[in-house]
Amino acid sequence: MLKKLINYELKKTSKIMIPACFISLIYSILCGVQILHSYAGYNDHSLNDFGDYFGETSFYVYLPMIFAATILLTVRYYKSLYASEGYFAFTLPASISNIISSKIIVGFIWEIATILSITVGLFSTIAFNKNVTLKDCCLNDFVSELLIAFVVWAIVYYSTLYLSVTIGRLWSKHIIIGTFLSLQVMLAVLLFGLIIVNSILYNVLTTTIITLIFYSICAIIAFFLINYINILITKKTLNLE
Amino acid sequence: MSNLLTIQGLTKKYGSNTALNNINLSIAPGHITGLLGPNGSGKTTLIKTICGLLVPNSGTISVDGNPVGIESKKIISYLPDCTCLDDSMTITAIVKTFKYFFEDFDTERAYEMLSNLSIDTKARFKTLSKGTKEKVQLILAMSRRAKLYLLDEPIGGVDPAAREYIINTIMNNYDPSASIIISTHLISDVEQLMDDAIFLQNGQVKLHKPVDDIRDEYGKSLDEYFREVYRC
Repeated sequence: MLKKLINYELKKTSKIMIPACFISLIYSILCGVQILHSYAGYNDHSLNDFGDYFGETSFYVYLPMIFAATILLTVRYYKSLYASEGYFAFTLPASISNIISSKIIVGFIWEIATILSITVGLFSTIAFNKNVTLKDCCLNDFVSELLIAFVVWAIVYYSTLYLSVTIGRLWSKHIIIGTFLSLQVMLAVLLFGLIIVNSILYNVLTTTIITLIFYSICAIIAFFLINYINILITKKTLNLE
Repeated sequence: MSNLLTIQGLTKKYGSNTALNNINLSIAPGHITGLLGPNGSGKTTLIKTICGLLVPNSGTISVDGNPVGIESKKIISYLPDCTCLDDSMTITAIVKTFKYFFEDFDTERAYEMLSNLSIDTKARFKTLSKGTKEKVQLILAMSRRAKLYLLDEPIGGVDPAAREYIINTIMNNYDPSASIIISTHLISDVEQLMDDAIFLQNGQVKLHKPVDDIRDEYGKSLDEYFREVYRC
């Protein structure tokens, strides 16, 4: 049933997310072209410039796109589970775990697709750049750290959001405030945990690969923990009024 | 014959308000049961709890020997008292979705009933009138070959002319070994369907008897008896 639910959810969300990914791909290519144009005549600092531009365009391209996708998928998550459509979802012959997991998995797939479309768009412009290679770019500290952040964030992003909705709906008259506050608390906990881990293991996390692997493992653990809590809360408090 | 539905000590509270108070019920297969009571008596809460949409505070529910979960949901066909479908979908897409998720869904039967009621299957759900939406949802619920049908106000928003068709739809489209629980205020319209009646009041079962026994014992129709019991 999980496979059926994932296919159904993918189909329902693809009408929004495929165009969103396509737009981000095109936009990021255009940003990449803009970066290349800006390189002209500044060969000495091209790699650092690329890192700066990568960060800047990520800020302008990635964040608005993710924000829009977040709003759409979060509203759908709420509507399809805890509003009137929940009557259909929770009477399907599937466990609550499967129903919620399907949403989280599909959210994760779209998060990866969005990140890939932006990253591929930006990196594709390297092919036309004589001064910067893909290898140089990946070795650039800023770019590699940004990619690590993307991967780690992608793993826990929708899980955290969906859990905040599940907690937020417990305040039946103040769902949005409840969701926002629980999201802030969870983000603070995740960030605090990350800062502590980083300060303890500062001497161990010396290379990009080790850092990527380590943070990915942390994110996967957080992913399962957050989803477990989400399913548990839903099982205990499912009250569709 | 073992019961299709057994409820023991079921209690459901909303904060300090007790919606269901120590409900004990059993429904045998092949029975059509009317779930009757005034507003706020707990009819919808009871149906939702059987479906797994509400978590009870205490008590147990067994559907054909299974607790509320995947196995019980496989054999329960539920008609909610509100529209629960994605209203951007067309009727055809909704029918396909039901077929996709429910193994016991009979597509031919659904299209036949939609055709009989002259419902345009290409129309989007949101473009339909309230009554037509209710008809579509009832058709979807009755197109499943379920063991237990839970119908919450199936004719509440339907015009009197269509009620007869809907009542016939219910009568003609369920397996005699299956059971139906109908929650309604329009008792006179569905009285002829019912084998048993459950009267709920303040979250408790006030009466659970065969309809014929009620008629014989009190010398009144079910509708008349209901009006007497719940007179304001």
